[in-house]
Amino acid sequence: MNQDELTKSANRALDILFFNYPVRCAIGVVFGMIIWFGFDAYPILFELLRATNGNGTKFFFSLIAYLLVHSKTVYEAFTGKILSEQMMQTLNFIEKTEVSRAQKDLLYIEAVSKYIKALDKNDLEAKNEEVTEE
Amino acid sequence: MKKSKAPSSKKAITSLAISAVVVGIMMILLPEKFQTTPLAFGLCAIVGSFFASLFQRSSNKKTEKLKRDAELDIDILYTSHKVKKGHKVILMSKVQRELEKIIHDEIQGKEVNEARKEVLFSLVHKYKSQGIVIDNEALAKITSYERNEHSTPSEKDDSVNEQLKNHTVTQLFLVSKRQDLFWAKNIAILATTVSAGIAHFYYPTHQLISLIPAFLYLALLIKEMVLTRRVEMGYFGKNKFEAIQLLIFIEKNKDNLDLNGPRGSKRKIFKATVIEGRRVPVGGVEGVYQ
Repeated sequence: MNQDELTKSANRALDILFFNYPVRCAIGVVFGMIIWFGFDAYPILFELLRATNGNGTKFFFSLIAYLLVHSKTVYEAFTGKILSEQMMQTLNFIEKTEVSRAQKDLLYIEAVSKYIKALDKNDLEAKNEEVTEE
Repeated sequence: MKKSKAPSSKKAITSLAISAVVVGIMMILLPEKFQTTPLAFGLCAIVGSFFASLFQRSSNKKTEKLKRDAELDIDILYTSHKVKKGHKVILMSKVQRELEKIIHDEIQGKEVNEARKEVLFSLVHKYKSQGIVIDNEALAKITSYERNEHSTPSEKDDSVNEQLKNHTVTQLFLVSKRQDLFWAKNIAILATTVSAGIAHFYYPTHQLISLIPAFLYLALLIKEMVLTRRVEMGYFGKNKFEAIQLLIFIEKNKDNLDLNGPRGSKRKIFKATVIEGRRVPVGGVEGVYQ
């Protein structure tokens, strides 16, 4: 296994661990800890929530706090399709094709550069429309 | 200035490392009664956070360097392709940025072009509040200095190519990710110290909880190192998931990013891949221009 493969899987794993948003993850951990300590400081919370007094309850509510901070991430995952379906299909296709490593690299480069060119084009068109409307 | 700065920081770091080792040895040699006290745990957490914040400083410095590489302007004065060839105008914002760079280099002890610096200073004095300036005299001076510096056009191209090596879209992605990770790590360090302190004073039974942000910090550090390594070696972005990440980054920041680079379309997307210690150009040419 070469360095490329190793770092690729490590990068992927860490991305999944942080849900792609490291800052939200850190804030979520802080909130979770506050909840954990809060249950210790005010044991009345157990009775208010009608939960058993134990580590399981604390863990569960800390997890909920963590996920609350990540709620925007979860929302984006379900609704925010930032990339178009066509682009995703292209990338899927490149991933599946059985060509050599160097050729795959070239295909990716072409896909990304075409995307950037399309952005420029869309931008120009939008500006054109604005000018004509005025 | 540089000479006096570097050894003092080295001395500080070595003295800190030695003191940490001494504290560690003392903790091992201490009678068991003291070893089990919560104080030792809290001390460990605080010393660890201190070292982590030292690392933070150096990592921030590296981010700044990467950022300077990514936003490098080769043509400092002339505007981009939008202006006709004969009409050369001077952008004062670029002049100021270049001047800042020169002063920064001078403070660091590098060699700077004095004549160039003088021209830039005079420009700033002359047109303080203006945005765009037409000054053929200053332009002629600056271009003559540039000609003197690079005798042949091929040499100039070589140096420009060398400078443009780090001038890629993936570098921009790396800089923004590193800035994110920097704040995440700061929060993790703060959480480690605060939770260790709170646990020491109020909840002696929950001391292990401060290990969670500490592990988070370690994971973030590994993530930063892996990502930097991947981008620098030119691996990043050449598989499905990373390509998606890169495209989403471009889509989100398309209004803020200078995707085209300074002189028309010169910014490459990926760096050339490094295989067995040397850079292998993709498809026969080094990188691919847009």
